[in-house]
Amino acid sequence: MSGQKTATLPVLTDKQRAWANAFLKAMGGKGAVEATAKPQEQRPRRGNTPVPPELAGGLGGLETSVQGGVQQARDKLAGEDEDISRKKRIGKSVDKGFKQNVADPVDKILEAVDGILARGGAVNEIILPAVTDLREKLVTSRTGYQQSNQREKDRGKREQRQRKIDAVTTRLDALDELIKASGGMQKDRTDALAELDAAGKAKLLAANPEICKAVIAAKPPAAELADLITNAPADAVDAFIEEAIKAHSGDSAYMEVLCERCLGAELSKAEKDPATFMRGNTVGSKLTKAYAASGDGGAFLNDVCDNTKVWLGSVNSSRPIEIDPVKEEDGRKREEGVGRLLHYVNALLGSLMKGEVPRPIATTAGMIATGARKQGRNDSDVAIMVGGHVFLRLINPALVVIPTTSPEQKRALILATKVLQNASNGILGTPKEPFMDAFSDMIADELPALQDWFLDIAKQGDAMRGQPPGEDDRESWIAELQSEDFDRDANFLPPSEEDPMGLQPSDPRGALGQLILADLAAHAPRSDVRLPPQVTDGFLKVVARARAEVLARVTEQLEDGRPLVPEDAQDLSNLIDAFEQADVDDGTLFAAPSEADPLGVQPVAPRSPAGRLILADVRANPNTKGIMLPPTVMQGHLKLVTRARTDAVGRIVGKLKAAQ
Amino acid sequence: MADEAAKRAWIGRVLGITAGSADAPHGPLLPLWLDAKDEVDAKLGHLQGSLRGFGDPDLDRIAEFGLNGVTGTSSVGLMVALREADAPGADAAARRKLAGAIDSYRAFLDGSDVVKLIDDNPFGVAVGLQATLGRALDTLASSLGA
Repeated sequence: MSGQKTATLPVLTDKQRAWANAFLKAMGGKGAVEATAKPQEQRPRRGNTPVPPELAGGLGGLETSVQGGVQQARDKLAGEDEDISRKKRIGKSVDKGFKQNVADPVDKILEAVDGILARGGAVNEIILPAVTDLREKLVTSRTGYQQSNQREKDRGKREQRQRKIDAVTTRLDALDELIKASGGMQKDRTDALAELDAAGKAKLLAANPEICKAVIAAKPPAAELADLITNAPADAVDAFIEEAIKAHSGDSAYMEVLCERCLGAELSKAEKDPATFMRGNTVGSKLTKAYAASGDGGAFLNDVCDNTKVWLGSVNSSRPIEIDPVKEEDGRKREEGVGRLLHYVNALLGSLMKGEVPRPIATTAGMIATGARKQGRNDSDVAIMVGGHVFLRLINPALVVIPTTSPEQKRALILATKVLQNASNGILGTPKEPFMDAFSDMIADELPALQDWFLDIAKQGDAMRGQPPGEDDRESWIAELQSEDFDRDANFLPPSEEDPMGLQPSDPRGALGQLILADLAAHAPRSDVRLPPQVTDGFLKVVARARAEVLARVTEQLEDGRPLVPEDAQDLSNLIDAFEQADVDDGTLFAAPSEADPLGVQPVAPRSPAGRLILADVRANPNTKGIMLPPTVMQGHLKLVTRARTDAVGRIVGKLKAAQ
Repeated sequence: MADEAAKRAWIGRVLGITAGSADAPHGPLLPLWLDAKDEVDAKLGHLQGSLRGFGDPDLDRIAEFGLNGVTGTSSVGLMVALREADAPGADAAARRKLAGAIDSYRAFLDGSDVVKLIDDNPFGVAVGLQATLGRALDTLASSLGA
């Protein structure tokens, strides 16, 4: 389709291209503004900090094993005196090559390891590839010397060469010690990390940026990384997010699961106070912003900035834009300023609304809309939340950092972002800045279309992630996945060497394909399975089981996506009646108390509408701290159970009635 | 109306005779300007359409964000001054203000690289921005007795 369209478009001549360039330059859109741009400030790097004392035990001698390896390597190279005497005999020219290719590189590696250890860094991730690479080169050199010696007839030369072979072998042994020690360190670290909970791991990684970088770059399952990010110390969250974006922004399925998990954690925390969801600089808002502004999202924002630079070209000291009467007394000039801002905002909104929104922005908008809907917000509130994401977090921050040539341009940008912010929030006037009332009519006119656009972006994003377009579709998809007629294998590619479990979707662009990819990002397939030379029935059973697990999780995820509060008024009313009339202790709503759930507040049917509401309430009100299931459940404990359940039901009914 | 004003302006410019006296009541001035602006806007619209027809991001950007600033936003000051001069009971101060606005817009037309680029565009659309708006400015100035 697009190919045909391109073919019918006229091609620009050189003269026309030159004209466009000259025009943009005259307006400040190309070159002119950039020429005065200040270099972007380097974000200060987090330094290597020592491992926190409370985690020192968990590190179990990680560094000492490598230090031991370095020492052993040095011991093997201890015969330096002997080397000196050899040098005389080997001869200067030959010795020079040996020094450059063998001796110096090994010395450098050992020095580098010393340096990294002194800084508490991650030796194996940084140095191991270099050591392995050098080892291969040394083996090649040794083989070369050995082959030459086989052909050498001169005994003296043979002896000389043999000494070099011995020297290379000594160094190879030294490198092997280092590799062994480094491998031990890797295992120790994996074991130590496995023993820590998410908060402990996050704290350890926050204190050791190089290990953090390596762990994130190794692409742990997105669900695990989300746990690490949400549990990271406040001052380390930015660094975690930066590393995740740097390493994985190109993998949309992975990043989207990461964003979704972090937003989900934030949503649970916001159960008590829904207004806190995406309010301020939360982990979810930072991550979604960073992902949305990466890749195609970044290109989209650059485009918006380039458009704005063209408009900014008409703003200078002789034609400034000012609409605040305190700063500009001349009403005519203020009116002109309003006109110019209106033109810009209309042009910008027009170009945004008719263009395509890239995946990182659309999918994050969809996740925020889903979160807001789970909180029971109406379409208008959902649109405002998405608008906040698109304008307040993405477009406006990008606009205000456009390098400007004059204070007048800076001021024009600030005013323009104020108008855009009011438009996205649907604010028609504010007593604090009455001069902004000049845009009320425009905002009132544009608001319905703008809000529709916000909701549409979210819908597009959901579709890109394979989410069902409506609740009816969701129900039918769930039914289809659970149907006995569903052809599971047709939806996966056959097992291959790259994908031995055959879990890659056969149609990665389709809705189910996207859902499968998201599941694979969240739950990495087993890494220890290799495709057997002959695919047997036994192996296919393993594949079938893995596929069934993926589809079960996909179904579960679709079920989780159902709105928590029913949208249908009658369903809502029925649910309120059911909770209000329920006997909390008769076993229809709540499961019996257990060691894991001493207050018996877990739902009997966690996937039912009532069960999901109970689960959400339990997550938001973890009130089992310090309470244990007594060996014999006595009347006193049962009273506690009944009270906890009644409180939960009260909260749920309150929530449902608020949505009526 | 515009033709009449243009004729008076021509007489004033070429023959050095001020057609119509300062005492003679003149019609509203804003429509004179709006006529010229509409004429130019229509041609700019053609240019916009032509630019959009290439499907080129730079030309799209110029069409959306670069053309309107020339006649629309830049002339707001002039239009405000024209409204004030047309208002019942407009005094000499309003006329002075209008004269200033005319000079200011003329300076913009003469000095703007963008105006020159639009007039010399290689897309086969004759906009005649400087000529059309310059003529209208002459007319307005002559109406003021300048």
